[in-house]
Amino acid sequence: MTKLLTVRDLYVQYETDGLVTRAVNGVNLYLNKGETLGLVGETGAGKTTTALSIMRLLPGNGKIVSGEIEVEGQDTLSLPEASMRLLRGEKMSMIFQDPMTSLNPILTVGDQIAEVVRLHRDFGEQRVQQRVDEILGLVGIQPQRKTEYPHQFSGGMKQRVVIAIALACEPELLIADEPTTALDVTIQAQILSMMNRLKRDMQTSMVLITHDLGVVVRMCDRVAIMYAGEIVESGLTEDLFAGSAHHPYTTGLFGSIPNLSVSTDRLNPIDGLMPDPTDLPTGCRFHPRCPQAMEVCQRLAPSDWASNTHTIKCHLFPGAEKREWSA
Amino acid sequence: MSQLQRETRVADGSLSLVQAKHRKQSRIKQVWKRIRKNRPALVGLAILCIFLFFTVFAHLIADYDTMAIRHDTAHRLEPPSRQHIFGTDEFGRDIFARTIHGGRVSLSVGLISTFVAVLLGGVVGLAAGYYGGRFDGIVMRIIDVLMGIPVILVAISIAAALGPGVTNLLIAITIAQIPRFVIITRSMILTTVGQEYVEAARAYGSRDAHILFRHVLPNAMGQIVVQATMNVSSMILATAALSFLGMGVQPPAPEWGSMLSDGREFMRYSMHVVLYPGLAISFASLALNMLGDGLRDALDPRQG
Amino acid sequence: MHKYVLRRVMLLVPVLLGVTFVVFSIMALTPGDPGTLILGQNASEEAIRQINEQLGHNDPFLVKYFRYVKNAVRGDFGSSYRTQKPVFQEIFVRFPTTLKLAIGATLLAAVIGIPIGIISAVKQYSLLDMVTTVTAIFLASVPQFWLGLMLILFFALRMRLLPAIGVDTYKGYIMPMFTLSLPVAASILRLTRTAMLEVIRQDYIRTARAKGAKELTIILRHALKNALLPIITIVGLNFGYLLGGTVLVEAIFGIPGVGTLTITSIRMKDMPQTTASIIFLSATYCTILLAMDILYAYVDPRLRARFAK
Repeated sequence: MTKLLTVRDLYVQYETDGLVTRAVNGVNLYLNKGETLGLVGETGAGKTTTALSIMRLLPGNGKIVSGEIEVEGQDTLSLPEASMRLLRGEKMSMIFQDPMTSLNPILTVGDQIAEVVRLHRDFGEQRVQQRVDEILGLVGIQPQRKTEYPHQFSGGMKQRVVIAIALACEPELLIADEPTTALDVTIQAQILSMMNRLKRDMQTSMVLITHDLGVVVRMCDRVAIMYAGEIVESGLTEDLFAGSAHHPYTTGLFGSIPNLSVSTDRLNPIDGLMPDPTDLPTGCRFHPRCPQAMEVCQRLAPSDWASNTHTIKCHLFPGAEKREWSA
Repeated sequence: MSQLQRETRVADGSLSLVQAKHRKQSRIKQVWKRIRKNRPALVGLAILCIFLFFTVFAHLIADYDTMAIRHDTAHRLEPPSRQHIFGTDEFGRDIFARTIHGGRVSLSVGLISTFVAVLLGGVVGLAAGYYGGRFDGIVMRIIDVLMGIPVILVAISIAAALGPGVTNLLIAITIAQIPRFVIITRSMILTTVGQEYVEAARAYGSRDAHILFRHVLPNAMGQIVVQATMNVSSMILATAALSFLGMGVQPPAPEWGSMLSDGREFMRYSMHVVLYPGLAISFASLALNMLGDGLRDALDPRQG
Repeated sequence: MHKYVLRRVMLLVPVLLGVTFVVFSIMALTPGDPGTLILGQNASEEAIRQINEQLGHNDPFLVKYFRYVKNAVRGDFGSSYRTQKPVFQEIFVRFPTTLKLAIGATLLAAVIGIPIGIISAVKQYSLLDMVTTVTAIFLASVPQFWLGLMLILFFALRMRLLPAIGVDTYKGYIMPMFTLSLPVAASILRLTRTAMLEVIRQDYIRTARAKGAKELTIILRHALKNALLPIITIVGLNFGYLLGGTVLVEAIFGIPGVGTLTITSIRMKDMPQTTASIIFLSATYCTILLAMDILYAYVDPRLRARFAK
């Protein structure tokens, strides 16, 4: 069975004024049909860049340096832009973080949804409007509101519209970049369950980017933890949450979640900051902050240790001995 | 002074004078560094310096009476030559000399009128923006009316009413430009006053005037400098326009605009009579615009 | 929406009143009295005094002003000192010419400035962009009247392609219109470029791309429509600059419009004529500003919504 999405050895960088930002450094991902993959990491880890690369929506100064991306077995990196455009919105959709700015303020909500339908379907105008009404109903918005403008909707409603646009053509792959981060916690829950429902009904597979571990537990079948442009640990959600072997970063992440039932004086953040992507540490990218760092960690980049579904990239778990000097 | 001492704030929330000056100096240095990278701005600055050099030392370079004023009918309308770099006009006067002396008028009127307009307009705009309320309402009504009359017409009508002469020209142009600066400073104040750091300053007890000088003005300053630079350029054009129409500088005193209107009837066969004064106006104005543009880019926090 | 239009139109009235007050006050500063200005310095004192009495010259300022407004509302802006004919008549005859010039120049400026500005923004940092930016800054710095003179020099005197003076044929409008419109086109170009660059950075453009929309659609439908808002504002403001410019341009090209009328009446110290001409030009400007405001509200649904209630 071909996987829906495969990302192999992806390297992406940005270049501004001569300064090179290594945003993604050798990412390997895959997504099976019907799955939800959580992509977790702090801000600046490279999650959004990975997502944009899959959609080939990188800004002008971004460049996919090397790697392969396949959607339904098809190599998307070598496609001409015109073909890519046919895929976007139809086979693969993306929703972004901030609903406030994702919608065009001077077009009606109905218009913006209709646009994606008209782009990819050969419907008559009546059928187009029918579909718009349908999808609005599915996301919980009254179809009469399609003549209204974005500023007339609340944040949560706006995000529903964004989701409606993304799902209007029933794509195979949905990439959601922190879709609920900008929303109230109560609305978050609503939106997430709606997304789950729709995903099931339309048989869409999803890559869900988030920094919130609670969301991961609710929504994701598999998880990948990203740090400094690399996947440091991945596996089934159970592997991550219930398992005992972890990358020190993962341990730190879980450890930093405050426990409601235990009283403490201080929070437990991970010491230090995410490294500057223009000046990455040698060897293992995490070694300056790692409480278990060893001498080898600053010399040599670790390779993947795999057990079944669980993968960890750390010298504590010796992987296949590939003498790979740090880049 | 150590880094720690520099960061420590004195009890009433203000930095001591030495620390404040240090911070301001480094900001200016930062802006200067950015401007150095901006080529058009540097070109503009260079041109401006050339102009300033010639106008300031005009008396030394070309004697006013013999070259700029005295008629020399034997050498009327001569094309550019080694003796007369820009040629001569219909009275035999050296156009180069008249141009650099004329520049003194244009540049000084431009600078003075901008300075005064920024000051007067700025104070009103500052008060309107900061205190708001009825005062602001009244000020804006008045400005609405004033802005309803095209700027040149305001200048022309004031100049017409007051009569010819450089001083009247100066007054006319200055008054015509004041509303613009009221609006600019007012909107600057409105955007910064809304900011949270002003609320924070109020929260730890700073007085109004203190807030104005410490927080609001430094931020607005940058924009005002940009606008003022561009404005000097418009003032130079306005001065030339009014002189062209016969208001303002009176003969035989040279001024770029009046040189154009005088030379007009001869331009068919003596193009140089209108070419050079016109180029002078254009380049002076251009230099200021490029410099202003460069300043605006250099001050933009999003760049670099 | 209708309420908004109505409210804005009604606001025009106090502004116009204010404008008449300002212009009237400024012109009142002119030294000299009607009697001397009409009859000349050599007329008898008695005759001068008589005329001054007749025209109410010695009345207090506010009385004079209110009388002026009262008459103006009826269409009587006084009689020219020079020709003794009603001032309004002269303006009325010349107004269409000036209007043709001003509106033509504005449209020309928009037609030149907006498309080039868009292309400049889309192809940022390209050779085209650099060239147009430099040209635009240059055109915005050049004095209009000098530009006019240079155009006359080359196209009329040297090449004999276009008439130097007057607007007898349509050809006569070409140079004055270009003279007026080029600096404004430059300003519109630069603003369009900046506005487009700003808009293209916005998130909703990325959303449109994620839908698979074509680049041209994104530029025209999504980006331009949003960038249009500041562009409309700047076109309106530049119209005022343009109207002021007609004064100079008409003088250079010998066009019989309201602009030359203003200049002539200033030279002749014809106060009523000058006052009325300037008021008229200002009123035109205010009306266009109003039209721009309404257009703005029409394009931006957020403004429309605010005033629909």
